[in-house]
Amino acid sequence: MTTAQLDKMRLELRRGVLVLAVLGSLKAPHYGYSLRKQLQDAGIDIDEGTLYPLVRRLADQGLLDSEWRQGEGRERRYYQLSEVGAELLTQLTQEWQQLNKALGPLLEH
Amino acid sequence: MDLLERYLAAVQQELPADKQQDVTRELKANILDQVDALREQTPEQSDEEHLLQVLQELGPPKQMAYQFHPPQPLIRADLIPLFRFTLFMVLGIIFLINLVQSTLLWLGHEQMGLLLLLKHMGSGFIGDATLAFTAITLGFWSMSLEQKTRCTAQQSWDPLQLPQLNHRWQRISLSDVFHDLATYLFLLILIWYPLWGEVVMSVELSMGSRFLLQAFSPLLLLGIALSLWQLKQRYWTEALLKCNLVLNALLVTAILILAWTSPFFSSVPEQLSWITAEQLERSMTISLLIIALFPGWEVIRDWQRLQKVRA
Repeated sequence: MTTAQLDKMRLELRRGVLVLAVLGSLKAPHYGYSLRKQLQDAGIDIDEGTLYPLVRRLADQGLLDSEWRQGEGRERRYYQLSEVGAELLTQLTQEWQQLNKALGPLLEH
Repeated sequence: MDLLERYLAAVQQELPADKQQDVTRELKANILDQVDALREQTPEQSDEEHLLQVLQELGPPKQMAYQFHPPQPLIRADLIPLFRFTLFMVLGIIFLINLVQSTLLWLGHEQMGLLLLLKHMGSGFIGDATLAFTAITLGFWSMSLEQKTRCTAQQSWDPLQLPQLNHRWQRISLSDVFHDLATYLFLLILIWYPLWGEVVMSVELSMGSRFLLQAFSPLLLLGIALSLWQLKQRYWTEALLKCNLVLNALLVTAILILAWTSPFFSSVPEQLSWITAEQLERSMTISLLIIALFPGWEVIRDWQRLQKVRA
């Protein structure tokens, strides 16, 4: 397998998981950079060019609430899970756990 | 921080008007946060250097704008095969029509050289093709906007309606359908060409052959209808095979009648002085007999297929 193929498949694999990671991180309010920092600290490396547009898309879908706040001499847009987003996160988490449980034995061999 | 403003302006330029202010405002805040973080990590570097590093990681402004607002394709992905075949079919017909038109013009004008013929053909084709391309693209674009039809089609999908096909040849490929459709359309346009085209013909058809050609138009219309039916139902059934067989049998008959029509031409152009009227008539008869072999072969093929379907 070439590096390009591996990169493409990694990207596909990560795409759905990143949504789950972002929704999970936004149980508490975060602005763009702090969200990225939190994900990085948790071991999920995501570049800014992917993260910021993803957060906006989720907000456009009504899964996140957002507001501009003033802090440390600069305005920042804070995001947090909306009611709809919280419901979706619960369902997606169950789905993820089921998948993970089913995948475990398959990947052991 | 002039560089930051330049970057934001470049991103803004690629975004739709209603998103420009909001996206760049947020992007600016995020970039400045990243610069702050880098300043803490490497205080020995300047802010300009930090900013440069952040912008390089973010990527080119166009790419960043596309992430925020992904471009929408003009034509829906599932319509692309149909769009491609329609385009090729129409462009092919336009090319052939222009070829015929230019050749007739060339035969009618003694002073017209080969270069002028090519120029006439090229300019005519480019003009017509541009118009056709625009019209087809606009048509498919409007079809792409009709999302509702697509949803309804998916909801009414019933697996039990899948045809039971016992032979591989029963599946009709899109290219076959468009090939037939293009042939019928081209012949129809050609037959009625003197009515709408610029008549510069020096090779005149006789009254009898012209009348016969025009009388065969319903057959070509039937062929177009049959092709459209095949476009909707992409497999051979007994009914479809019967219709195709009858159509091809009628086409063979029509071509044979035409082959034995004498005289086929009423005049021979001066440019064709190397051939006598008699030789021209005989060439036409032989050409028509060869042409008749194609629908004739389809008659035999469909007859055999019909027996297999019935078995």
